[in-house]
Amino acid sequence: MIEQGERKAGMAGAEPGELIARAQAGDGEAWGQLYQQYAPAIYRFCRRALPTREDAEDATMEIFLKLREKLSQYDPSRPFRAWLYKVAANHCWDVLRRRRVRQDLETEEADALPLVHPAPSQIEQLLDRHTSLEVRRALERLPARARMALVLRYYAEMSYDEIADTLGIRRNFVGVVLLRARHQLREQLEGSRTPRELRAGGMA
Amino acid sequence: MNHLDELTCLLYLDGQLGAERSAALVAHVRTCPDCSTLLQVLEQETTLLRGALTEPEEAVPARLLAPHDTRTAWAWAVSLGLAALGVFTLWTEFIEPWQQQLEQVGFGGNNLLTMFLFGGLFWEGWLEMLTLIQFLAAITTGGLGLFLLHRWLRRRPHLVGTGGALVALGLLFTVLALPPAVAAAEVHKADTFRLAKGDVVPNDLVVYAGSARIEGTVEGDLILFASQATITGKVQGDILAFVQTLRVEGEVGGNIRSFVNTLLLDGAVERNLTTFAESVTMDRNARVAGSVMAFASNFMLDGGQVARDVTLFVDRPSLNGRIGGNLTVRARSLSIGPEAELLGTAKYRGRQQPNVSPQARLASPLSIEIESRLPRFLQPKFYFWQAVRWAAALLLGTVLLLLLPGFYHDLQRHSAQIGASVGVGLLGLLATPIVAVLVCFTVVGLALGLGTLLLYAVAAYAGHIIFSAWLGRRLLGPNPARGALLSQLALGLLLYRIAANLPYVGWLATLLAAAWGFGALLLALYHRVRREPAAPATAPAA
Repeated sequence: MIEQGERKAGMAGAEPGELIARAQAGDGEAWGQLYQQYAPAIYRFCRRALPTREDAEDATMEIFLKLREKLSQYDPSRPFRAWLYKVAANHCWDVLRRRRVRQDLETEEADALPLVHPAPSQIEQLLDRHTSLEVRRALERLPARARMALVLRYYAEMSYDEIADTLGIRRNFVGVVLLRARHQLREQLEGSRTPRELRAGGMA
Repeated sequence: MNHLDELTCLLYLDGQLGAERSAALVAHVRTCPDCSTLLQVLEQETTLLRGALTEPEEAVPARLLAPHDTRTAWAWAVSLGLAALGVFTLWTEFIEPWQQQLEQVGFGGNNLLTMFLFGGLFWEGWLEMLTLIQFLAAITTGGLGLFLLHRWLRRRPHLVGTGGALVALGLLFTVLALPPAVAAAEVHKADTFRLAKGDVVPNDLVVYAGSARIEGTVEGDLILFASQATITGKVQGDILAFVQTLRVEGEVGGNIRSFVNTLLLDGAVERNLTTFAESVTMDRNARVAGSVMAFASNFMLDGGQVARDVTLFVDRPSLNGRIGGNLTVRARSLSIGPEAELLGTAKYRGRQQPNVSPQARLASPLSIEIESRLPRFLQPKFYFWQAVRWAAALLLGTVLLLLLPGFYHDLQRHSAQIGASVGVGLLGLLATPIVAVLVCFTVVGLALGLGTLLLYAVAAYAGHIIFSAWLGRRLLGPNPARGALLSQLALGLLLYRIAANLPYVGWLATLLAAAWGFGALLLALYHRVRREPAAPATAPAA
């Protein structure tokens, strides 16, 4: 159902097949138009995935340079936006991994903790009390993988397969990672009840 | 059916449950208010998350929206122009003169690498006339060649290993370096090697030893890697020596090319002597039938004789013997002793007035050019050359940026990892020559090792450009437009030029910048090579 749903994520418009074909043929102007069209969405993606504004700006530029180099490899039968996000996601995940080698350890520890199953009413209350701004702030404090998983799923609208591929985890594990990320997010929203070791993974 | 757990609900909402399980879930939810609430709440959470993530609450930075100049045609024009200039330069300035010169001294043109490596030294004014634009053009030629080779390999996936280009390059050097004669060589490895008097080696002889004595006869070439070596016998071919202390008292039918600390020549050389050394002494019995070229800190011609030209880049040469050809000296000082006899012209350029004994016999007056003692900061020439270097580096950086924009950015990104870059760079700067020299010790690797050294020189030069690009970006802020990248590079290079010329700390700035950029280059290459065979996604580091 939602899997089939809108892969919109801030990108409107039809597949710009003609522009892409021209850009692939080396038309700089076409590439410029593609850039204008997609740079904002990619920037927002990076802004959500990476800790700071500067990181997001740098990453956006780097991603577009990569995109341009790889444009010849793009298969026009696949959705262009999905391809953009895949390249962007790989890049951001690389950036995060390079910065935090310890991250894997931390997430492993977190993975070992049992999931607490809250009463639905509790979650509901929690959700009602918080604005999307607060959700964004809470997201920023999540460990890199948890945040990345949420961004890939709910911003880039990636499939579980794509998420597994990007994060280098088994496909069966994607649901668990997403659920755990939601739990960590709820803990952040609740405030100080977060266990310290979970917060240590947040990108400061 | 039991109550639903959160994960199942999430998988359902994300469309990850199979049709059967979905149907069962839907059936259960209809009858179970608790699970129905859970499902609703999770869906609400999804909506909140999606909203929070996609809400464009923050404006996209203006500089990201700056229009992109994306035309590359002129980039190709620039690089192709440079490349053409490079090929022309290589041909007219290097290959042709060397070939002529080599043919004059009877050096067969069958070993191209020898021509490249050793012939280059014969090009007069190599050190001072090496205008950077030409150097640059040569680099661009090589770079463009590699780039095209890389592309060519990319279109032929069956040929591509990750190191396809490198392997091809290695092969190229190997082919260039293998003269037909290498097939017939005797190789000896020992702590002490001695070729006894009366013994004859009918082939080339390659020796790796702590100390080596050649008392017998080598009918081919002699290639020596040793700490001490003494040659009292006869070598009919050339001597190529990497030795700490080399004494040649016997006869050499060909040339001596040596990289040594101390060279003592007290025998006969039928052709030329070329040496890089700390100290060179040509004693009474020394006789060189060809010409002599030396890069050394001391050079003493003590009664020996040279039939043809003598060219010296030496700190303080002292000449007290016979020179049949022209003498060219670039030194700090020069002393010409009473037994000196110069039959050709004599040119000296240096800081101090030469000291010429009145008894010395000179066929023509010594032409003297004293270098100005003004501090270099007061000489206009200094600024001219600084500007040329700046422009040359900017040009190379521009070519790099235009041809490989992605790699250029990789370089900048890796430069931002200061510790890693500088560390790896220092290690690379130190280790690469050592490794290359070690590789040279395996005969097959000689060409590869020398090739590595050439690439190393180019990479070390590029180091400061990479660093400057990062510095400029750091100062002016990131901006992807090409003009901005160029001004970043220009500013970075300017600051680098200033820092590198500071008294006392300039060398440190030079070293640091070279190491930094070199490190970033190594890191970027490493990541490229490592990533290339993998699928787009990379697994987290184990």
